Amino acid sequence: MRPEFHEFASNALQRRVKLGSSSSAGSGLSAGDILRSGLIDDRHTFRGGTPASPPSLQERVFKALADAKVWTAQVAMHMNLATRDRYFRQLDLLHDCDEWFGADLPLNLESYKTFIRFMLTVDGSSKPSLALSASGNLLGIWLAGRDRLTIEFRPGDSVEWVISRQEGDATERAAGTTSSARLMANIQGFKPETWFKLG
Amino acid sequence: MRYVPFGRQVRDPDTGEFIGITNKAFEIRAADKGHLSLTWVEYYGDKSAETLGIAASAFRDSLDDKKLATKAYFAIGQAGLTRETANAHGKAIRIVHAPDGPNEGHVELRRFSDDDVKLLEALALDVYSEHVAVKDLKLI
Repeated sequence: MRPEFHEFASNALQRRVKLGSSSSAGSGLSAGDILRSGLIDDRHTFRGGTPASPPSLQERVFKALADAKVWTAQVAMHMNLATRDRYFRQLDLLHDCDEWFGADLPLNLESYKTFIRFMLTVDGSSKPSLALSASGNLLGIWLAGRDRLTIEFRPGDSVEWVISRQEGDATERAAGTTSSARLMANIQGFKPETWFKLG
Repeated sequence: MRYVPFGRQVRDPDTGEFIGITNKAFEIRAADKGHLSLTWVEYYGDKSAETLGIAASAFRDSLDDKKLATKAYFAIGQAGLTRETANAHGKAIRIVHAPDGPNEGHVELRRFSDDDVKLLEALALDVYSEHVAVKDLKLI
């Protein structure tokens, strides 16, 4: 763990402890969030502290990325290094604070877990573009010519998919919501091999 | 035109090159204040590099932080095709001129909801298919 993250997380917890459970500090990390993340534990005791303020965007983004990367380490043995590094690079770009918009939320770890679990079931050469919804859900986008598959990875292994496929001059479009395990069965009629091979 | 921050764009997974926009570009966000928010370029004059810059600047000035990100894009589409596409997906939207502070060319899509991902995908791919990078705009 990077020491500066530990320091900011401790400070954030300290601020929330002083505030109690009130949400008046605004959106962002609560003490429970930090403790549940497992990145620090609840054995710390705090005395004194600085005036309360909500975690900054930089702090929230840092925590989201740290959580995702720490969790990835638990499944890294199933991924090749280049793939892992590409995901991390894409996530870093998506979390550039200079590019942040309004009240967007950083990556939801549970969405990221759904994405990684799904990607472990498909051919390792599959390279999706990645994007983020305003609520922090990860999107994977696969392109093949003018055909496109977009999957929103939601917490709990749930996915929403939408396909745009050219058939002559017409565009066929289909969408659905299912579990990541059922996704391939859902899109079977749209030649999923266009975008990836089953592992 | 619709502001599309980096997170709603489709980028090449290896090079990071801009490819297009995701359907989430048309998700109603907090800054939309309940309706899909767009800026009407022609309010500022015939469409040109100059009026695109003026419209983008007006949108920027309506934001709380008065800032456009350097890797952001604007996606440009036509009102008639927006209405037609929404109608084809069962949404009888109304496009209403609703000035938003310094953005006098602000319009809202009323009776629009972002629950039909096929409609959002159609808007992203078929309607708002002209894209201009913020870094290429003549902001004022």
